[in-house]
Amino acid sequence: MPTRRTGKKTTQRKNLYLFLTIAFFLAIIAIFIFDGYMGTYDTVRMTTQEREEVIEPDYWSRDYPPSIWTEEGQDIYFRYELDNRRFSTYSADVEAAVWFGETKHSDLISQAVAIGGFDKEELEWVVDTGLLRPTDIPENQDYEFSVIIKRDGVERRIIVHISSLLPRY
Amino acid sequence: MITLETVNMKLEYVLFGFGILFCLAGVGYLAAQYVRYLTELGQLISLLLTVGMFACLGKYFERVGW
Repeated sequence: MPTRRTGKKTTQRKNLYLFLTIAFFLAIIAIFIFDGYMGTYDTVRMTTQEREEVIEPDYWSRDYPPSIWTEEGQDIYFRYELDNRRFSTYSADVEAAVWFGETKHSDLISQAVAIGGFDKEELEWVVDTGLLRPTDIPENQDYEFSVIIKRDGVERRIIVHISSLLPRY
Repeated sequence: MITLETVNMKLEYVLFGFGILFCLAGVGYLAAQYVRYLTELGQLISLLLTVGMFACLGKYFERVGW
């Protein structure tokens, strides 16, 4: 026959499981917030012809690379922002280069960065599209190349579409 | 004997059931969308906590008498 003491113990045990359930749920939410926020995030801002396009950090998880277009001869200003949301310093060599398919054309920047905890750093470079047309592509045709940014095993590819200024027909 | 009161009570339970299902589906959908931003360690710990959470919830309902 359950006494008052054993009944109280059973209620405590029952509540313990409920508290554990709530505690686990809150721990999951905390991990989602904390782990989702922490890390190293990179944002690219590209400006050309009075237009600015921003590639936010979550864009990189998509299957297809981001792209930008401009007219031949226009400069494209790149600003690459690294946001270190960690307690330790983030050190890496950042390299950016122009690629035509699998062939590297030219280097744009190569710089070592050391960003303190919860700090940001921005790198800048310019792509002059007037100097990049491959010799085998007629001047009245559009063409594309990639700007590939590499750092610490991470690779970001941006497709750049160049529109020819000459009439096609 | 089925009275209007018992029908209303059963209807309430069905609606509660739907509400709980929709809540679980919503939370599940948000978690599935957001889980890719976590590190592998974060995903593993979240998985273990989820298993523990459902185990404790099951134990709680068992103790309650469901």
